[in-house]
Amino acid sequence: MSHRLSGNEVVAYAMKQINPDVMGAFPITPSTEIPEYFAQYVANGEVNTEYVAVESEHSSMSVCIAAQAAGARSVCATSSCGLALMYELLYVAASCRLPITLACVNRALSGPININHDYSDSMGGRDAGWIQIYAENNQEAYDNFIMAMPIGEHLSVRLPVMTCMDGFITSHAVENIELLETDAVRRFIGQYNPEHYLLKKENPLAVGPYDLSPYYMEHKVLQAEAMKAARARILEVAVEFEKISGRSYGLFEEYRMEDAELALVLMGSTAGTAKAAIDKLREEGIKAGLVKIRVFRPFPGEELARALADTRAVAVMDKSEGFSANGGPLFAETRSALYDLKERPYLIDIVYGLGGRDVKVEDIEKVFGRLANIAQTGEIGSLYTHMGQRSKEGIA
Amino acid sequence: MIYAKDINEHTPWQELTPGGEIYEPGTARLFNTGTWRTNTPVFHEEACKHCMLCVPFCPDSAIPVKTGNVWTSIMCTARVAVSVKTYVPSPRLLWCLEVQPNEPPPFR
Repeated sequence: MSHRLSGNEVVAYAMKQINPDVMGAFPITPSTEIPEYFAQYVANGEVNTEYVAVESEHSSMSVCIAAQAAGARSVCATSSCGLALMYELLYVAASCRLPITLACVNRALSGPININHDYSDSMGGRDAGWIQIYAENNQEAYDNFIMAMPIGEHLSVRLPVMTCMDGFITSHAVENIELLETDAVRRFIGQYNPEHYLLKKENPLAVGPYDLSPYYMEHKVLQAEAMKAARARILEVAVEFEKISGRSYGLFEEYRMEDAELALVLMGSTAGTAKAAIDKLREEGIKAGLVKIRVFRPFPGEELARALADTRAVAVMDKSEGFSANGGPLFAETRSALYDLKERPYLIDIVYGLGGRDVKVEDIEKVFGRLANIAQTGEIGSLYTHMGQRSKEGIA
Repeated sequence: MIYAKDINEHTPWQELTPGGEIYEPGTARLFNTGTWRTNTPVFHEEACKHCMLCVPFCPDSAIPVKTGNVWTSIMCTARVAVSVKTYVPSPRLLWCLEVQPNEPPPFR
Protein backbone atom coordinates (compact mmCIF):
# COMPACT_ATOMS: atom_id res chain seq x y z
CA MET A 1 0.00 0.00 0.00
CA SER A 2 1.51 3.31 -1.03
CA HIS A 3 1.12 6.38 1.18
CA ARG A 4 2.56 9.84 1.42
CA LEU A 5 3.93 10.51 4.88
CA SER A 6 6.72 12.44 6.59
CA GLY A 7 9.59 10.71 8.40
CA ASN A 8 8.17 11.55 11.81
CA GLU A 9 4.73 10.32 10.75
CA VAL A 10 6.05 6.97 9.58
CA VAL A 11 7.98 6.37 12.79
CA ALA A 12 4.92 7.27 14.89
CA TYR A 13 2.88 4.99 12.64
CA ALA A 14 5.38 2.16 13.09
CA MET A 15 5.08 2.68 16.86
CA LYS A 16 1.31 2.49 16.56
CA GLN A 17 1.54 -0.76 14.62
CA ILE A 18 3.92 -2.17 17.23
CA ASN A 19 1.69 -0.98 20.11
CA PRO A 20 4.49 -0.79 22.70
CA ASP A 21 3.72 -1.11 26.43
CA VAL A 22 5.28 2.21 27.45
CA MET A 23 6.42 5.44 25.83
CA GLY A 24 8.60 7.95 27.67
CA ALA A 25 7.61 11.19 25.95
CA PHE A 26 9.23 14.60 25.87
CA PRO A 27 9.22 16.98 22.90
CA ILE A 28 12.22 18.48 21.16
CA THR A 29 12.58 19.78 17.62
CA PRO A 30 12.64 18.05 15.14
CA SER A 31 11.41 14.84 16.82
CA THR A 32 8.46 16.51 18.62
CA GLU A 33 5.92 15.23 16.11
CA ILE A 34 6.62 11.60 17.02
CA PRO A 35 5.28 11.77 20.60
CA GLU A 36 2.66 14.25 19.31
CA TYR A 37 1.23 11.87 16.69
CA PHE A 38 1.52 9.01 19.13
CA ALA A 39 -0.41 10.95 21.80
CA GLN A 40 -3.31 11.08 19.32
CA TYR A 41 -3.21 7.31 18.90
CA VAL A 42 -3.29 6.96 22.70
CA ALA A 43 -6.16 9.46 23.03
CA ASN A 44 -8.12 7.70 20.28
CA GLY A 45 -7.66 4.34 21.96
CA GLU A 46 -5.82 2.98 18.92
CA VAL A 47 -3.01 1.70 21.14
CA ASN A 48 -2.98 0.66 24.78
CA THR A 49 0.44 2.12 25.51
CA GLU A 50 1.16 3.72 28.88
CA TYR A 51 2.09 7.20 27.65
CA VAL A 52 4.29 8.86 30.26
CA ALA A 53 4.70 12.61 29.70
CA VAL A 54 7.76 13.65 31.70
CA GLU A 55 9.67 16.86 32.41
CA SER A 56 12.94 16.11 30.60
CA GLU A 57 14.73 13.62 28.37
CA HIS A 58 16.71 12.43 31.37
CA SER A 59 13.35 11.32 32.71
CA SER A 60 11.91 9.97 29.46
CA MET A 61 14.84 7.59 29.13
CA SER A 62 14.61 6.76 32.84
CA VAL A 63 10.95 5.83 32.30
CA CYS A 64 11.98 3.54 29.43
CA ILE A 65 14.73 1.92 31.53
CA ALA A 66 12.40 1.24 34.46
CA ALA A 67 9.61 -0.02 32.20
CA GLN A 68 11.87 -2.27 30.17
CA ALA A 69 13.42 -3.70 33.36
CA ALA A 70 9.90 -4.36 34.61
CA GLY A 71 9.29 -6.44 31.49
CA ALA A 72 7.57 -3.90 29.25
CA ARG A 73 8.45 -2.97 25.70
CA SER A 74 9.31 0.72 25.76
CA VAL A 75 9.96 3.33 23.10
CA CYS A 76 11.18 6.90 23.02
CA ALA A 77 12.02 9.65 20.54
CA THR A 78 14.38 12.57 20.80
CA SER A 79 16.89 14.88 19.10
CA SER A 80 20.01 16.91 19.74
CA CYS A 81 20.24 18.40 23.25
CA GLY A 82 17.50 15.99 24.32
CA LEU A 83 19.72 13.07 23.43
CA ALA A 84 22.62 14.83 25.16
CA LEU A 85 20.56 15.10 28.34
CA MET A 86 19.98 11.34 28.07
CA TYR A 87 23.65 10.39 27.74
CA GLU A 88 23.98 9.09 31.28
CA LEU A 89 20.86 6.98 30.85
CA LEU A 90 21.95 5.71 27.43
CA TYR A 91 24.86 4.02 29.17
CA VAL A 92 22.59 2.69 31.92
CA ALA A 93 20.13 1.23 29.40
CA ALA A 94 22.89 -0.47 27.43
CA SER A 95 24.85 -1.81 30.41
CA CYS A 96 21.67 -3.13 32.05
CA ARG A 97 21.10 -4.84 28.69
CA LEU A 98 17.62 -3.38 28.23
CA PRO A 99 16.48 -3.50 24.59
CA ILE A 100 14.71 -0.13 24.46
CA THR A 101 13.99 1.36 21.03
CA LEU A 102 14.74 5.05 20.51
CA ALA A 103 13.93 7.07 17.41
CA CYS A 104 16.70 9.64 17.14
CA VAL A 105 15.88 12.47 14.74
CA ASN A 106 19.34 13.86 14.19
CA ARG A 107 19.94 17.53 14.81
CA ALA A 108 23.04 19.62 15.48
CA LEU A 109 24.09 20.12 19.08
CA SER A 110 24.41 23.54 20.65
CA GLY A 111 26.12 25.82 20.44
CA PRO A 112 25.49 28.10 18.81
CA ILE A 113 21.97 26.79 19.03
CA ASN A 114 20.76 25.28 15.77
CA ILE A 115 17.77 23.11 14.92
CA ASN A 116 18.91 21.64 11.62
CA HIS A 117 20.53 18.42 10.68
CA ASP A 118 23.89 16.90 11.38
CA TYR A 119 25.01 13.86 13.38
CA SER A 120 26.68 15.57 16.34
CA ASP A 121 23.96 14.29 18.70
CA SER A 122 24.01 10.56 17.95
CA MET A 123 27.78 10.58 17.29
CA GLY A 124 28.22 11.83 20.85
CA GLY A 125 26.35 8.72 21.98
CA ARG A 126 28.21 6.33 19.72
CA ASP A 127 30.21 4.76 22.54
CA ALA A 128 27.21 4.34 24.87
CA GLY A 129 26.64 0.73 23.82
CA TRP A 130 23.55 1.26 21.66
CA ILE A 131 23.06 -0.28 18.27
CA GLN A 132 22.79 2.60 15.80
CA ILE A 133 21.00 2.25 12.47
CA TYR A 134 20.78 5.22 10.09
CA ALA A 135 18.10 5.85 7.45
CA GLU A 136 18.51 7.54 4.09
CA ASN A 137 14.80 8.29 3.63
CA ASN A 138 11.33 7.84 5.13
CA GLN A 139 10.99 4.27 3.93
CA GLU A 140 14.20 3.27 5.66
CA ALA A 141 13.22 5.15 8.82
CA TYR A 142 10.02 3.10 8.94
CA ASP A 143 11.70 -0.20 8.09
CA ASN A 144 14.57 0.33 10.53
CA PHE A 145 12.20 1.06 13.40
CA ILE A 146 10.27 -2.15 12.75
CA MET A 147 13.46 -4.20 12.54
CA ALA A 148 14.84 -2.65 15.76
CA MET A 149 12.97 -4.80 18.29
CA PRO A 150 13.70 -8.22 16.79
CA ILE A 151 17.37 -7.16 16.70
CA GLY A 152 17.69 -5.67 20.18
CA GLU A 153 15.46 -8.11 22.06
CA HIS A 154 17.14 -11.27 20.78
CA LEU A 155 18.82 -13.24 23.57
CA SER A 156 22.20 -13.17 21.83
CA VAL A 157 22.03 -9.35 21.75
CA ARG A 158 19.87 -7.75 24.47
CA LEU A 159 20.95 -4.22 23.60
CA PRO A 160 19.02 -1.00 23.05
CA VAL A 161 18.60 0.20 19.48
CA MET A 162 18.71 3.77 18.21
CA THR A 163 17.18 4.25 14.76
CA CYS A 164 18.37 7.53 13.31
CA MET A 165 17.01 9.75 10.56
CA ASP A 166 18.05 13.20 9.36
CA GLY A 167 16.25 16.04 11.11
CA PHE A 168 13.87 17.97 8.81
CA ILE A 169 15.43 16.50 5.64
CA THR A 170 13.85 13.14 6.44
CA SER A 171 11.69 13.82 9.49
CA HIS A 172 9.61 16.57 7.86
CA ALA A 173 9.84 15.74 4.16
CA VAL A 174 6.76 13.97 2.82
CA GLU A 175 7.60 11.03 0.57
CA ASN A 176 5.87 8.07 -0.99
CA ILE A 177 6.17 5.11 1.30
CA GLU A 178 5.08 1.49 1.42
CA LEU A 179 3.53 0.59 4.75
CA LEU A 180 3.17 -2.97 5.99
CA GLU A 181 -0.10 -4.35 7.28
CA THR A 182 -0.36 -4.04 11.06
CA ASP A 183 -0.89 -7.78 11.47
CA ALA A 184 2.29 -8.45 9.51
CA VAL A 185 4.22 -6.01 11.71
CA ARG A 186 2.92 -7.62 14.91
CA ARG A 187 3.76 -11.10 13.66
CA PHE A 188 7.20 -9.89 12.65
CA ILE A 189 8.11 -8.35 15.99
CA GLY A 190 6.31 -11.00 18.07
CA GLN A 191 5.72 -10.85 21.80
CA TYR A 192 8.37 -9.43 24.12
CA ASN A 193 9.24 -12.35 26.37
CA PRO A 194 12.28 -11.54 28.48
CA GLU A 195 13.59 -14.38 30.61
CA HIS A 196 13.99 -12.15 33.67
CA TYR A 197 12.01 -9.03 34.53
CA LEU A 198 11.08 -7.15 37.69
CA LEU A 199 7.36 -7.98 37.60
CA LYS A 200 8.01 -11.73 37.43
CA LYS A 201 7.04 -12.38 41.04
CA GLU A 202 8.30 -15.96 41.28
CA ASN A 203 11.74 -14.76 40.23
CA PRO A 204 12.96 -11.75 42.24
CA LEU A 205 15.46 -9.71 40.24
CA ALA A 206 18.02 -7.00 40.93
CA VAL A 207 18.87 -4.78 37.95
CA GLY A 208 21.98 -2.62 37.76
CA PRO A 209 23.72 -3.57 41.03
CA TYR A 210 26.98 -1.98 42.19
CA ASP A 211 29.80 -3.53 40.20
CA LEU A 212 33.37 -3.02 41.36
CA SER A 213 36.66 -3.98 39.75
CA PRO A 214 36.41 -7.76 40.40
CA TYR A 215 33.31 -7.92 38.12
CA TYR A 216 32.98 -4.76 35.99
CA MET A 217 35.50 -5.88 33.37
CA GLU A 218 33.71 -9.21 32.85
CA HIS A 219 30.36 -7.47 32.43
CA LYS A 220 31.88 -5.11 29.85
CA VAL A 221 33.26 -8.10 27.94
CA LEU A 222 29.76 -9.61 27.94
CA GLN A 223 28.42 -6.32 26.57
CA ALA A 224 31.12 -6.13 23.90
CA GLU A 225 30.36 -9.71 22.84
CA ALA A 226 26.67 -8.81 22.56
CA MET A 227 27.55 -5.93 20.24
CA LYS A 228 29.63 -8.29 18.10
CA ALA A 229 26.74 -10.77 18.01
CA ALA A 230 24.40 -7.98 16.90
CA ARG A 231 26.06 -7.94 13.48
CA ALA A 232 24.78 -11.42 12.60
CA ARG A 233 21.39 -10.74 14.17
CA ILE A 234 20.92 -7.55 12.13
CA LEU A 235 21.49 -9.52 8.93
CA GLU A 236 19.21 -12.33 10.09
CA VAL A 237 16.40 -9.88 10.80
CA ALA A 238 16.99 -8.18 7.43
CA VAL A 239 16.46 -11.54 5.67
CA GLU A 240 13.17 -12.07 7.55
CA PHE A 241 12.12 -8.49 6.84
CA GLU A 242 12.71 -8.92 3.13
CA LYS A 243 10.25 -11.82 3.13
CA ILE A 244 7.42 -9.60 4.36
CA SER A 245 8.38 -6.35 2.64
CA GLY A 246 10.39 -7.21 -0.47
CA ARG A 247 12.99 -4.66 0.63
CA SER A 248 16.50 -5.85 1.34
CA TYR A 249 18.95 -4.37 3.82
CA GLY A 250 22.58 -5.01 4.76
CA LEU A 251 25.03 -3.44 7.16
CA PHE A 252 25.63 -0.86 4.45
CA GLU A 253 24.41 -0.23 0.93
CA GLU A 254 26.80 -0.38 -1.99
CA TYR A 255 25.82 1.80 -4.91
CA ARG A 256 27.59 1.14 -8.23
CA MET A 257 30.59 -0.25 -6.37
CA GLU A 258 31.21 -3.32 -8.61
CA ASP A 259 34.00 -1.68 -10.60
CA ALA A 260 34.26 1.64 -8.73
CA GLU A 261 37.68 3.29 -8.59
CA LEU A 262 36.58 6.41 -6.73
CA ALA A 263 34.20 6.03 -3.83
CA LEU A 264 32.43 7.87 -1.06
CA VAL A 265 31.62 6.61 2.42
CA LEU A 266 28.77 8.52 4.06
CA MET A 267 25.48 8.18 5.93
CA GLY A 268 21.87 9.24 5.72
CA SER A 269 20.04 11.46 3.25
CA THR A 270 23.21 12.73 1.54
CA ALA A 271 23.32 9.28 -0.07
CA GLY A 272 20.45 10.33 -2.34
CA THR A 273 22.38 13.39 -3.50
CA ALA A 274 25.51 11.29 -3.94
CA LYS A 275 23.66 8.68 -6.04
CA ALA A 276 22.45 11.43 -8.40
CA ALA A 277 26.02 12.72 -8.74
CA ILE A 278 27.36 9.21 -9.31
CA ASP A 279 24.80 8.50 -12.05
CA LYS A 280 25.88 11.69 -13.79
CA LEU A 281 29.59 10.88 -13.47
CA ARG A 282 29.05 7.31 -14.66
CA GLU A 283 27.52 8.71 -17.86
CA GLU A 284 30.78 10.60 -18.34
CA GLY A 285 32.69 7.33 -17.92
CA ILE A 286 33.98 8.03 -14.41
CA LYS A 287 33.94 4.90 -12.25
CA ALA A 288 32.32 6.42 -9.19
CA GLY A 289 30.58 4.56 -6.38
CA LEU A 290 29.14 4.93 -2.91
CA VAL A 291 29.05 3.01 0.34
CA LYS A 292 26.19 4.24 2.48
CA ILE A 293 26.74 3.16 6.08
CA ARG A 294 23.44 1.92 7.52
CA VAL A 295 24.68 0.27 10.71
CA PHE A 296 27.22 2.44 12.52
CA ARG A 297 27.14 0.43 15.78
CA PRO A 298 28.25 -2.32 15.52
CA PHE A 299 30.62 -0.90 12.90
CA PRO A 300 30.95 -3.22 9.86
CA GLY A 301 34.74 -2.79 9.61
CA GLU A 302 35.74 -6.02 7.87
CA GLU A 303 32.85 -5.83 5.41
CA LEU A 304 33.65 -2.20 4.61
CA ALA A 305 37.31 -3.02 4.00
CA ARG A 306 36.25 -5.70 1.50
CA ALA A 307 33.88 -3.27 -0.24
CA LEU A 308 36.62 -0.65 -0.63
CA ALA A 309 39.50 -3.05 -1.34
CA ASP A 310 39.54 -2.48 -5.09
CA THR A 311 39.05 1.28 -5.10
CA ARG A 312 41.84 3.75 -5.73
CA ALA A 313 40.69 6.79 -3.77
CA VAL A 314 37.98 7.18 -1.15
CA ALA A 315 36.46 10.23 0.53
CA VAL A 316 34.74 9.76 3.86
CA MET A 317 32.07 12.41 4.34
CA ASP A 318 31.45 13.24 7.96
CA LYS A 319 28.34 15.21 8.86
CA SER A 320 29.60 15.89 12.37
CA GLU A 321 32.83 17.47 13.49
CA GLY A 322 34.10 15.42 16.40
CA PHE A 323 36.88 17.90 17.17
CA SER A 324 39.56 15.26 17.29
CA ALA A 325 41.65 17.55 15.02
CA ASN A 326 42.26 14.34 13.08
CA GLY A 327 38.98 13.97 11.17
CA GLY A 328 35.39 13.07 11.99
CA PRO A 329 34.09 9.88 13.64
CA LEU A 330 33.12 8.09 10.42
CA PHE A 331 36.61 8.78 9.07
CA ALA A 332 38.25 7.33 12.18
CA GLU A 333 36.22 4.12 11.84
CA THR A 334 36.76 3.81 8.09
CA ARG A 335 40.46 4.50 8.26
CA SER A 336 40.85 1.94 11.03
CA ALA A 337 38.84 -0.62 9.04
CA LEU A 338 41.12 -0.20 6.01
CA TYR A 339 44.36 -0.62 7.93
CA ASP A 340 44.49 -4.40 7.44
CA LEU A 341 44.15 -4.23 3.66
CA LYS A 342 47.37 -5.13 1.86
CA GLU A 343 46.76 -2.41 -0.71
CA ARG A 344 44.82 0.46 0.71
CA PRO A 345 43.10 3.16 -1.33
CA TYR A 346 44.00 6.80 -0.74
CA LEU A 347 41.70 8.15 1.91
CA ILE A 348 40.54 11.66 2.82
CA ASP A 349 37.95 13.08 5.18
CA ILE A 350 35.53 15.85 4.31
CA VAL A 351 33.44 17.36 7.07
CA TYR A 352 30.34 18.93 5.54
CA GLY A 353 26.73 19.96 6.13
CA LEU A 354 27.11 20.99 9.78
CA GLY A 355 24.00 22.55 11.28
CA GLY A 356 22.04 21.86 8.10
CA ARG A 357 24.43 23.48 5.59
CA ASP A 358 23.13 22.28 2.24
CA VAL A 359 25.03 19.82 0.11
CA LYS A 360 24.24 19.71 -3.61
CA VAL A 361 24.93 17.31 -6.45
CA GLU A 362 27.67 19.72 -7.65
CA ASP A 363 29.35 19.55 -4.25
CA ILE A 364 29.55 15.76 -4.49
CA GLU A 365 30.91 16.08 -8.03
CA LYS A 366 33.62 18.38 -6.66
CA VAL A 367 34.58 15.70 -4.14
CA PHE A 368 34.87 13.13 -6.94
CA GLY A 369 36.96 15.65 -8.89
CA ARG A 370 39.37 15.77 -5.93
CA LEU A 371 39.42 11.97 -5.73
CA ALA A 372 40.19 11.68 -9.45
CA ASN A 373 43.10 14.05 -8.98
CA ILE A 374 44.38 12.08 -5.98
CA ALA A 375 44.12 8.77 -7.85
CA GLN A 376 46.05 10.26 -10.76
CA THR A 377 48.81 12.06 -8.86
CA GLY A 378 49.07 10.01 -5.68
CA GLU A 379 49.06 13.27 -3.73
CA ILE A 380 46.22 13.52 -1.24
CA GLY A 381 46.82 17.14 -0.23
CA SER A 382 44.99 17.89 3.01
CA LEU A 383 43.86 14.75 4.77
CA TYR A 384 40.98 16.36 6.59
CA THR A 385 39.09 19.37 5.28
CA HIS A 386 35.73 21.08 5.63
CA MET A 387 33.36 21.67 2.72
CA GLY A 388 30.67 24.28 2.15
CA GLN A 389 31.91 27.04 4.45
CA ARG A 390 32.60 30.59 3.27
CA SER A 391 36.25 31.49 3.32
CA LYS A 392 38.52 34.21 1.96
CA GLU A 393 39.27 31.88 -0.92
CA GLY A 394 35.55 31.53 -1.73
CA ILE A 395 33.23 28.62 -0.90
CA ALA A 396 35.27 25.56 -0.02
CA MET B 1 19.93 -19.95 35.67
CA ILE B 2 23.05 -18.49 37.28
CA TYR B 3 22.82 -18.35 41.10
CA ALA B 4 24.61 -15.75 43.22
CA LYS B 5 26.22 -18.45 45.39
CA ASP B 6 28.01 -19.76 42.29
CA ILE B 7 29.52 -16.38 41.42
CA ASN B 8 32.79 -15.26 42.90
CA GLU B 9 35.92 -13.36 41.91
CA HIS B 10 37.20 -16.32 39.93
CA THR B 11 34.09 -16.70 37.75
CA PRO B 12 34.86 -16.24 34.02
CA TRP B 13 32.84 -13.67 32.05
CA GLN B 14 31.00 -16.40 30.18
CA GLU B 15 29.41 -17.55 33.45
CA LEU B 16 28.28 -14.14 34.73
CA THR B 17 24.82 -12.68 34.16
CA PRO B 18 24.21 -9.97 31.54
CA GLY B 19 24.41 -6.53 33.14
CA GLY B 20 25.27 -8.13 36.49
CA GLU B 21 21.60 -9.00 37.08
CA ILE B 22 20.90 -10.96 40.25
CA TYR B 23 18.06 -13.44 40.07
CA GLU B 24 17.42 -14.04 43.79
CA PRO B 25 16.56 -11.83 46.77
CA GLY B 26 18.70 -11.29 49.86
CA THR B 27 21.99 -12.34 48.30
CA ALA B 28 24.04 -9.72 50.20
CA ARG B 29 24.40 -12.18 53.10
CA LEU B 30 26.35 -14.49 50.81
CA PHE B 31 29.11 -11.95 50.51
CA ASN B 32 31.49 -10.69 53.17
CA THR B 33 31.58 -6.96 52.63
CA GLY B 34 33.39 -6.19 55.90
CA THR B 35 37.05 -6.63 55.20
CA TRP B 36 37.81 -2.96 55.86
CA ARG B 37 36.50 -2.67 59.42
CA THR B 38 38.84 -1.82 62.27
CA ASN B 39 36.63 -2.62 65.29
CA THR B 40 34.45 -5.57 66.22
CA PRO B 41 31.22 -5.09 68.15
CA VAL B 42 30.79 -7.57 71.00
CA PHE B 43 27.36 -8.23 72.47
CA HIS B 44 26.96 -9.08 76.18
CA GLU B 45 23.65 -10.83 76.34
CA GLU B 46 23.53 -10.86 80.16
CA ALA B 47 23.57 -7.02 80.15
CA CYS B 48 20.71 -6.71 77.66
CA LYS B 49 17.62 -5.03 79.20
CA HIS B 50 15.71 -4.98 75.94
CA CYS B 51 15.88 -1.17 75.98
CA MET B 52 15.87 -1.17 72.14
CA LEU B 53 18.46 1.60 72.01
CA CYS B 54 20.78 -0.63 70.03
CA VAL B 55 18.36 -0.34 67.10
CA PRO B 56 18.73 3.42 66.48
CA PHE B 57 22.32 3.26 67.78
CA CYS B 58 23.42 0.91 65.06
CA PRO B 59 22.98 1.38 61.28
CA ASP B 60 19.63 0.62 59.72
CA SER B 61 18.81 -3.11 59.63
CA ALA B 62 21.99 -4.07 61.50
CA ILE B 63 19.90 -5.18 64.50
CA PRO B 64 17.08 -7.42 63.35
CA VAL B 65 14.10 -6.91 65.68
CA LYS B 66 11.87 -9.93 66.02
CA THR B 67 8.71 -10.55 68.02
CA GLY B 68 9.30 -11.79 71.54
CA ASN B 69 13.02 -11.27 71.50
CA VAL B 70 14.62 -7.94 70.73
CA TRP B 71 17.95 -9.45 70.26
CA THR B 72 18.78 -12.27 67.89
CA SER B 73 22.32 -11.52 66.99
CA ILE B 74 24.66 -8.73 66.16
CA MET B 75 25.23 -9.05 62.49
CA CYS B 76 28.96 -8.92 62.27
CA THR B 77 29.14 -6.56 59.38
CA ALA B 78 31.41 -3.62 58.92
CA ARG B 79 28.42 -1.33 59.09
CA VAL B 80 28.05 -1.88 62.84
CA ALA B 81 31.71 -1.35 63.51
CA VAL B 82 31.99 1.74 61.35
CA SER B 83 29.00 3.26 63.07
CA VAL B 84 30.27 2.54 66.54
CA LYS B 85 33.67 3.87 65.73
CA THR B 86 32.56 6.96 63.87
CA TYR B 87 29.55 8.26 65.71
CA VAL B 88 29.82 7.15 69.34
CA PRO B 89 32.54 8.64 71.50
CA SER B 90 31.97 6.13 74.26
CA PRO B 91 31.28 2.58 73.25
CA ARG B 92 30.00 2.10 76.81
CA LEU B 93 26.93 4.20 76.00
CA LEU B 94 25.10 0.94 75.61
CA TRP B 95 26.00 -1.46 78.39
CA CYS B 96 25.33 -4.48 76.29
CA LEU B 97 27.56 -3.39 73.41
CA GLU B 98 31.29 -3.18 73.57
CA VAL B 99 33.76 -2.33 70.87
CA GLN B 100 37.03 -4.16 70.68
CA PRO B 101 39.80 -3.28 68.24
CA ASN B 102 40.27 -5.79 65.48
CA GLU B 103 43.37 -7.88 65.24
CA PRO B 104 45.44 -6.21 62.54
CA PRO B 105 45.03 -8.12 59.28
CA PRO B 106 47.94 -10.41 58.40
CA PHE B 107 50.50 -8.67 56.22
CA ARG B 108 50.20 -9.80 52.62
